[in-house]
Amino acid sequence: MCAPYNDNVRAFKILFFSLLASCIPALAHNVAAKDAEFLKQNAGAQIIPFVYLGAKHMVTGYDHLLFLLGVIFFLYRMKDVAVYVTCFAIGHSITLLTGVLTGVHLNPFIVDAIIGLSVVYKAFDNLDGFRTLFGFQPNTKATVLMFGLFHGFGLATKLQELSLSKEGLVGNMLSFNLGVEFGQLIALSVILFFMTMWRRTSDFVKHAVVANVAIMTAGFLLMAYQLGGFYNEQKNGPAPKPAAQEVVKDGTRG
Amino acid sequence: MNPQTGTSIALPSRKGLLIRVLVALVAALVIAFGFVLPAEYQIDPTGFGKATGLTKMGAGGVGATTAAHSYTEGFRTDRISLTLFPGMDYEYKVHMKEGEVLVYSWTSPGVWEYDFHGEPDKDPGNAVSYKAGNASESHGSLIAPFEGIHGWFWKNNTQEPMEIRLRMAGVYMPREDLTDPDEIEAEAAAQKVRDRAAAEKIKDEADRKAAREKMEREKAAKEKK
Repeated sequence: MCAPYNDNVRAFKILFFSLLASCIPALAHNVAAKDAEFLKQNAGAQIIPFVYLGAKHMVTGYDHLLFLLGVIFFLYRMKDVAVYVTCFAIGHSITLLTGVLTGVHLNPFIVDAIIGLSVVYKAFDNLDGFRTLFGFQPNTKATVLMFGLFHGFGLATKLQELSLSKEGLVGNMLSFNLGVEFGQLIALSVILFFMTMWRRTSDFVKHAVVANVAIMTAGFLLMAYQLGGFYNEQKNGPAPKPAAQEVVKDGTRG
Repeated sequence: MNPQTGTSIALPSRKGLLIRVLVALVAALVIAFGFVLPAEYQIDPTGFGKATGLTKMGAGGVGATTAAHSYTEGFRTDRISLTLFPGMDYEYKVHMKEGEVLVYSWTSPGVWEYDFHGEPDKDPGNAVSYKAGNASESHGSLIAPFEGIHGWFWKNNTQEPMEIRLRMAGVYMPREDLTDPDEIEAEAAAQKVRDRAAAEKIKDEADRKAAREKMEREKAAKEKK
């Protein structure tokens, strides 16, 4: 049982440090506003920038990362990890693509609250809550797929916020989705690296339950934060966007 | 071995599970209502946010980036009009500090190639384009993203001389109001050169037109004979 772990650990170490090195420039300064400006000003196909944005969104999106952590918490075999990550990827790809193409616009706060709920759900599932409380186990692959669908709506909303031009939309969207997969692999490698290290210690058995309670707390907090944002938006209207503005027509007379 | 976890971890009992879910929920609600919601959205049913100054933090953040800005001085309005001959271009610039606001409107009877852009004082040469293209008018506003010069490049690509009228309001300093005498001198000299070139071009055009008309008149007279 130990030999393949050592191989995995070595592989993860190499992958982890090379990825960490590549992540440092992105973490050093916040370029989100610049990214949005870039997209506004550049119509047409932008494959690499959109791949980068998709990957960045995944690597820096703590809600997606928490969910992934919950999903792979008790997955020991690479095969299982691959199966669940594929389910998740299929789910979010479907809604990301249809969401942007059909222009379906769900309230981002509600979508993000559901993403928070997915974190709570997965932690509850890790604690075997369904069998303990309700006496049945929901199909884990199906639920990961379902939450993948919601995460995809979240991604679609983010992409729509960037006010994309029609020109080159499909190519840019596919590039973004591809970037999301890359970002997910990067994030997953880092999470798996730490999980593998942790699982090899005797502390893991002691702390696994507490860790999932902590993940659940973070999920509840995400939900409260997003629902608070939703409440605030309903009460005060959407937050105005500070930027250079252009008006269509000259409003002065004479 | 536990089938859910694939390990020998002792999972909580029914009661233990309920307690843990409750702990997670209560902890999340305490953090949310105690800190996150007062700070981010000024939602503060407990009054804790107000007592600790968390709500002020959020309110200040909103004001600073969105609605009302105030400046102690520097508000002005300007009207500028200039005429460029075919093929000529001109740059009109104002100086703004970061966060200062300019509202503008320019109109013309014809279409111009233009580029509304800015150049940071700290990093000259690294210009940022806000809006560029071909248009006969443009109206909008700018909150200066950095201290530097901000303004328009216009080029007349038509066959006619064209006038452009620019109106501005806000907190900014037109470059002709610069107080550095060297810069004023340089700007004046450049303007003189531009004026002379424009005047010569007018004269040239007029001479050529007169010559052409004369030739045509003579030709017509010949044919009549």
